[in-house]
Amino acid sequence: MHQGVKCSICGEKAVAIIRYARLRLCKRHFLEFVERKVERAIRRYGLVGRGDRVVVAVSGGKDSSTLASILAKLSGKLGYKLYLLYIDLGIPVYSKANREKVVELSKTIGKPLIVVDVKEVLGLTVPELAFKVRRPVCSVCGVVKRYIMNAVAVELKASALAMGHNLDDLVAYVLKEFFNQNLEQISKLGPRTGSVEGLAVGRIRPLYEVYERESLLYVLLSRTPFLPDECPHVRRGTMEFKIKELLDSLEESFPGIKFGLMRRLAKNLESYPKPSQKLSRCKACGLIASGELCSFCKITKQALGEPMGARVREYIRRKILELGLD
Amino acid sequence: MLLVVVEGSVVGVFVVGRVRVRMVPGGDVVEVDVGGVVSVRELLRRLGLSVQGYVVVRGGEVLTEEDVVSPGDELEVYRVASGG
Repeated sequence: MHQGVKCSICGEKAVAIIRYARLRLCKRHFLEFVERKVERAIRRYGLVGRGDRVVVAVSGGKDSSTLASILAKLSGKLGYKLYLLYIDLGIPVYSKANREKVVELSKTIGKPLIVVDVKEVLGLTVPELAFKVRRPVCSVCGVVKRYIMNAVAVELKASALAMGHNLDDLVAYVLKEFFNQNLEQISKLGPRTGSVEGLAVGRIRPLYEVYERESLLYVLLSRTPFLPDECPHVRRGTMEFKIKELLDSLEESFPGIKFGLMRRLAKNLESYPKPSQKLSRCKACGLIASGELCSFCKITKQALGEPMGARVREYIRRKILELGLD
Repeated sequence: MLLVVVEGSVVGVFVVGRVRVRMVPGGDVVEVDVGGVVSVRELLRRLGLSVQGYVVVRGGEVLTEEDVVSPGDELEVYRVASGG
């Protein structure tokens, strides 16, 4: 009977074969391998400093759960404070199930959780808001999530907003933008983006060098709470999904090809053109905008008759006070 | 079909050669006739799935592509790529 492969480090039963690194790892050494990758990315790209406040946006899915769990582990050693943020979008069944999972995650890793409930603050769920403004749910959802994530980071005086994008997500985004020749967009796909004082908090991507497969294995092996369910609005025929499928077969023939691209991209980011859009302060809420009003205030004004950014910021400030996080 | 006979009476019936696979997410269940013991790599090939794109779990334990599965096994096959 086949006994399975052995860990290259300790000889225990291997649970992962990492071909690009020529390693076969047992559970313990695999978890350490991923944690070390995240720590190395944080140090290599200068993502977080001692004394920083970091907000990690969690969805209940595998990537943000892996990220929150590892950031919590490293927070003592690297000396930063970590806060979890969950945005309840009001998507029937899905949002509630994920909310419960994130509450469990927060307890498991021992870090505070801020929940922003869109229906509670706007009186409308994201699908209802999209219906009112006659735009696709995913596009409105993107605007709402980006706004709330930034607003929470600003109100918490955080120095970084950590996103769960993994290596495969980023490779797919880079190639999509390359096919469309949106080179300025590629310049935003590095391990970090800059902050704009008082208007926007920079984003960091600590899973920059972590494969999507490694992220799934991490939550499964570490028994970190997560839900594998997909948002009911997700479309599988998109270019990102197709690129991911194609790249899986490329990776099978050339192990490490995705990792190599993102390493080289991080070095070359400066040579990509920067977005030329002029940034301003939203007249209604005071956060970052590209015109008079930010996208969130525009959408909510259209749907509800008044821009809601300022009210959302007030709601967040109250939540922060209630949780004693100030 | 395999009949389990104890002292002349049939006490159990097994369909031999099949593994039962539950796809995650989605929950679709498929049965695959593997004939005998096969590698995870071979199982995925028969399901038309890529080794890089899926993770196979048996009884809560993660399997590598070089581990083997046997008829009668109940497996979960997780799709790696998620969207949203």
